[in-house]
This record gives sequence, structure tokens and C-alpha cells, in this order.
Amino acid sequence: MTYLEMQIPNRSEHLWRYTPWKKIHPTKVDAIPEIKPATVMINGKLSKSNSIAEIPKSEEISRVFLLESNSTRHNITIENETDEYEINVKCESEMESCHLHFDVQSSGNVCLRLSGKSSWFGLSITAVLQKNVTFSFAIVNDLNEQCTFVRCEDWNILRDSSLEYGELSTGANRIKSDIRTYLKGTNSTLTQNIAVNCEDGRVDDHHIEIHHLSPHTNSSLCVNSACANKGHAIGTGLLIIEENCDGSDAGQVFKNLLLSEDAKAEAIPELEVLSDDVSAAHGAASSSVDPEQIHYLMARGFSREDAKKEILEGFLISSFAKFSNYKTRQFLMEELTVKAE
Amino acid sequence: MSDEAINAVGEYKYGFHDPENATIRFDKGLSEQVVRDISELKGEPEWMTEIRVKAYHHFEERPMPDWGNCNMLESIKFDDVTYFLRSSDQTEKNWDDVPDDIKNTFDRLGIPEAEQKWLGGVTAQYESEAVYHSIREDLEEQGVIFLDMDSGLKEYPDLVKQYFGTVIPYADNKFSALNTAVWSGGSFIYVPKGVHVEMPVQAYFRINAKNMGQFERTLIIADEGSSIHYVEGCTAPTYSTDSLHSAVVELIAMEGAKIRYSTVQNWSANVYNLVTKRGIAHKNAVVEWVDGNIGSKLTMKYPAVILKGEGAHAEIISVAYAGEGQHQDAGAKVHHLAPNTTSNILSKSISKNGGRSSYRGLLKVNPKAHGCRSKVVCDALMLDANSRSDTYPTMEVGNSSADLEHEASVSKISGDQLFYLMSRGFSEEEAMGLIVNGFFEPFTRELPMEYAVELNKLLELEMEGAIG
Repeated sequence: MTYLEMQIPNRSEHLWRYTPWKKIHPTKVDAIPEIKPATVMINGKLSKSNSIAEIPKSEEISRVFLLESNSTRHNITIENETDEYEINVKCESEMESCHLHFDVQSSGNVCLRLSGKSSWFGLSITAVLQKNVTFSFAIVNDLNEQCTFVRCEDWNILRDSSLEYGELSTGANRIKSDIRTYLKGTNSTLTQNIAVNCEDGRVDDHHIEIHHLSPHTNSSLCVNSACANKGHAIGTGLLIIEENCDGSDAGQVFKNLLLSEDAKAEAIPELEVLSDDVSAAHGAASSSVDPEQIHYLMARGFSREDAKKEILEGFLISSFAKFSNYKTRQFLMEELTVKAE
Repeated sequence: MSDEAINAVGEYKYGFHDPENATIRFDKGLSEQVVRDISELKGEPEWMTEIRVKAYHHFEERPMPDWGNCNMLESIKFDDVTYFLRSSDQTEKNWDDVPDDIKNTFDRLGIPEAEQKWLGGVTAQYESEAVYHSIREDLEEQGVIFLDMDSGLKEYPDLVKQYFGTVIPYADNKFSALNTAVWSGGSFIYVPKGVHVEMPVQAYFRINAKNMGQFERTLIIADEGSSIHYVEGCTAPTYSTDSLHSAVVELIAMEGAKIRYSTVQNWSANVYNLVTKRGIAHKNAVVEWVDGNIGSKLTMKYPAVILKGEGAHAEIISVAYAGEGQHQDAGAKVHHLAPNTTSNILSKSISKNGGRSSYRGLLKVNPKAHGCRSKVVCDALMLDANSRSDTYPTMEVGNSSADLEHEASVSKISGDQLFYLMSRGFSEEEAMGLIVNGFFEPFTRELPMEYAVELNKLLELEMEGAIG
């Protein structure tokens, strides 16, 4: 089905409950405007995109829209264990988008940074982790403060492979992220840590789906969101353990730190379990800054504002503290430190 | 187990049915005329007829929910349902005056015996209307009103008009519209200021006829500083065709009042149980829902509390047991509208033999509600590979001073626990039964003793055949 044949999704759908499609479409919902490809630099070199010979079938409206509005893709193959990729995606004109496809054949890591002045930016990531690889991926959203950002990611993890995924989301004004991971092979593992900082009316909507499709698969999701000054963080998670996935272990936690009266946070960690011999848990917590922590820091010379900033930084940085890959961990922490300063 | 349990509860003990001796039975199907006829038959005031008709049109226009178990919902044949059936010409105050066949039913359910031992009042509803009703004299002397809803409307029309539909308006959802259009029976309770009803009052709802729809309406008002515990039980015969139960329950707890509403729902596996339950808690008031869902084909029930006054508290304990062919879609909703309000939600579910249990919850904090605290815990046990357990919680926080926690887990029965019990001489089945009873213990300990004993035996029976 093409985009124009599709029905505009209803807000009663879990995915579109808080950020309806019409709010993140770059123009009017019944149009596919001209969207330019963004500039992609890989390890300092300009990357050339290829046409997607066959557009993958999807019934999800934002995926179809992103593919129909820009049918070129950057294919990145991770072939050697020593491969380290620093990817910079920069969008300069009014509306731009980018498709990245990772074929992970060997262990490695990728640090991806998004920046630029566009008022609308679309990102699509597809990836396949072949058997027996360990892949670490870090993404930093540093888009301009007025940007509307639409993102779709699909990660497929095959047998005995593991994905360590980290995200720092501080850029753009309205963000709709739809990240889906499919644990397709036995003993595949996902560790996903996301830090979100919503300030100055920023609305950051993360929808995260994790599908356990094989036995003995493991997943762990932790989303730390801090909201201040009319910031609004939304986290909807859908964890599905399909039939015949015994021995699987899954957990997801959404934590919201509310720093001002006008801040808002939503957490909906959903769970669907169709196998019995599994361990599945989820949790969500929302709270303001602990006054005892502020008191502790103020007693050591911090002003109230500085104490709050330190606590905020610590809260967000804790998302990445257990990252096993040094390169991606440092990338995320350094970006966060720069932002905090 | 368990000859003892079988003796106690039988093979779906409540699956028997009596011959139908209806004095009035409407034809199947729903129309505006049916709604008007129900109202006329009951001699209702004009305003109630108008609400019914408006609700009927809303029900007709409103689409079916597009969430939950849509397949099961779509299979409800509203045209095959009987919307009104009168079994007795009047509500009796003495069991001896109740028609023999109906009295026999309630004898077998143990209601008269329970009334003598531990209840402050009883309403027994058979099909569409109450057939028996009584309240202890001392409560009546203190000004407590405990009537079936039809009598409540006749005797206290102003009080009913003031509160009816204020907590759950007819346009709230499709099934509240259906209930408002065709409601019949249910309880009307008013507890005056400062009166504490020490013994629980009970309503027992029984569907006897095939393809019957039961649409009771309950309204409980606890005035300032008062308290009441209301207990509700439900059963139906096992037929090959389906019945529909769609109730609306509205609770209003005024300043400093406390209402506890306990339900053990054990409908037979051919009943669609689509219920809307909501309470409003004013300043420093407490509303508690203790909600057990054992029976029915499909249950969709999310007891809710609106914490409207400062310092109000909500407590919701919900358990669900989903066996073969059952979907227990239960949960809880709490709206924190006022500052310093608190809530606790505990949900426990068990899925067995291909059953499906879902927790669907909402926790919402208004931007002006400072200092709210809430904790939600959902635990699910899955007893075999064919079953399913889902959790759909929603937390919407609009105030930075709120402290909210949610935690949920899904697992099977621990091998260590089974081993421990089996090494002490229990069979595997007995051990599982004990673990399940222990799992539900936070719920059963909140029930009156007689209910708790019954529920434990019922669960033990349901657990039969869980092994192999």
C-alpha cells in the first residue's frame, strides 16, 4: 500500500496516542512533499547514497512516508572487528531525511550524531546483526531547537548476537521516535539505554517495541527522562514475548524526573507475554528532585540551581554508566557533558 | 484435593438453572420502544425516561471499542439478548414470601444463611429485578437507606436525581450507555453523616434465563464521616448460548467518608461481563475496590476512583483468574485531581489452559495536584505455555511533585517453591494449589471470612488438572 492509500492513524492507537501523525508530518497529511537527502559523513568522508532497489514493505505510515519521500539509502557494512565508525548526519535545507542500513557481519561500534538547521528531519535506520556479533551503537540527537524530528528504526538480531544501544536525545522541538527490535535468533540480546532531556517546551515521544521471537532471548530497556520548563516526555514501550520463547528474560524501566511545575511526563510500559517459562518485568517511576540530594550538594557549596543541574546530569549520565563498549560510552558521556555545560 | 473442595463448590457449583417462571418477559432485541416500555412498566418519572432514551441513542451511535479483545466483543449479538425479565411481582422482605423456585436458588447459593450470620442487609436480584430485600432494623433506625435501585427511585426520587449519572454519565462509554438505557435492579444506598455500618451489606446477582441481559445499576452515597462495606456476588447457569452482564456502579464518598466495594465475580463461562465502576472521593475520603474476577467468558472491568478532594485515598486490589476460553481484561484507574491525594493499586492474575489475563490501568495526576503519591504493582503467573498475560499500564504525570511507582512482573510458578512443598509431602497439584492461594492472599485477606474460604476452595477446584 502506498502512503496516499493509507488511512491516517487514529489516536486511539497506542503508537499515536500522544503525538498524532498530522503533528509531525512536514506539511499536510495528504501530501508527500519534496524532501532532500541529508549530508552523511562517515569517518570524515562524504558518503554516497544508493537507490533502494526494492522498497521494503511496511504497513506503518511513518516508515512508508519516509521511504516514499526519499528512496536513497546509505549501506554500511561492518566487516572487521577493528571497524569503528563515526557518522555525522547534517541537515541544512528546510526538509531533509536520511536512510541508513547497517549490515553487521562482525563485532564493532558506531557513533552517530545528528545536527543541522532543518525545520523537519526524517531518519530511518534498518539493521541486521548477523550471527555471533557484538555491536555497540550510540546516537546523539543535536538537531536545532525548532526542528520536528521523525525517526523509525528496525533492528534485527540473529542468533548469539548482542546489541548495545545508547541514545542521548536533547535536540529538536518535537520528536517522534519509533524504535523496534526483533530478537530473532536464540540467545540474542538487546541492552537499550536512552537519556532524554526535555526543556523549553520540547516534546519527546519515544515508542519502543521489543519482540522476543526465539527462545532464550534477553532484553533490557532503561529510559531516563528529565523534564523542565514545559518539557514533555512520553515513553511508550511494548514488550512482546511470543509463543515458544521459553527461557527469555525481559525487563523495561521508565524513569521520569520532573524539574518544574509545568513539566509533564507519560510512561506506558506495555507487556504481552505468550510463553510461560519466562521472566518479564517492567517498572515506571515519576518523581521530582529529592530535596535531600539538593540539601547535600548545597551544604557543599553548590547553589540551588547548580545542585539541580548536577543531579540532572547524574540522572542522565547514569543511563550509560554500565555501557561495556568504551568508545560509545565515552561518545555519549562527552556529548552529555558538553550539553550540560 | 479434593473431594472436600468439590463438596464445597461442586463442578461449577452455580451452573444449575431453574425452570423459567417469568411474569413478564420482553421479546429479544433492543429498540427505543423497549427502553420506553421498561421505564413505563416501572412507573418512572419523566426525567429518567428521557435519560434512558438519550442513552439508547448514544449506544446505537457509538461504535464498539477498537481496543481490548475486539473479536470477542464483535461476537456479542445484541439482538439475541432479552433486556427485561420479571420473575416476581414484588420485592419481598421475608424469604418465605419469595417464590419457591427462586428461593431454592438462593438457598443453594447460601444467601439466607449468610444473611443470618454476618450481613447487615441483603438484596437478591434474580434476572432483571430484586426479588428479596432486607436491612437490619438498627441500621434503618440510624437513617441508613438500603434499597434496590427501582425502589430507591420511587421512594427517594430527588436524591436519585441529584446523583444518578454524575459519576458515570451515559456517554462515558458504549456499555454505560447500554446500562443507562435499560438498567433494572441494583442497589441504592445512602449512609447519613457520621454513621458507620459495621456489618457488610450484600447484593447477590443471579442470571437464570438463557440469553439474558442483566443491567443492574448501583449508587452508593456515603455522607460526611460515614462508612460502609458493600459486598457483591454474581453467578449464572452454564448454557451453550451467551448472556450479557453490563452493570454501572457509582460511588460517592463525601468528606471523611469511606466506602469499600468488594466483588467476587464468578459468572459462568458463557457470560460477557462488561462493567463500568467508578467512585468519587471528596476531601479525606477513602474509596476501596476489592475486585475478584474468576468467571465469565470476557470481562472488561477497570474500577476507577476520582480523587477530587485534598487528602483523599484510593485503594484497589484486583485479582483475575483466566482459564480455558476466558479473557479477564481487568485493571484499575485513578485520577489524582486534588493535592496530597494517595493511591495504591495491586493487581494479580493467573492464566491457565489457554486463558488470557490483561491488566489495563491508568494513573493520572492533574497539574494542580501537588504532593500526590501512588504505587502500582502488577504480578502475573502463567501456568502453561498456551496461556497469555498482558500488562497495559498508563502513567500521565502533570505535576512535578508527584511520586509515582509502577512495577510489574510475569513469571511461572517457581520450581524452588514447588520442590520445597513437594519435599514436604504435597503432590505437585496440591503444591501448585497452595502457591496459587498464597499468590492471591493479599486479595482474600481483604474479604469477609466466608467469602475468603469460598474463594480459596474455588481456586483449588480451578487448579485441578493444572498438572499434565
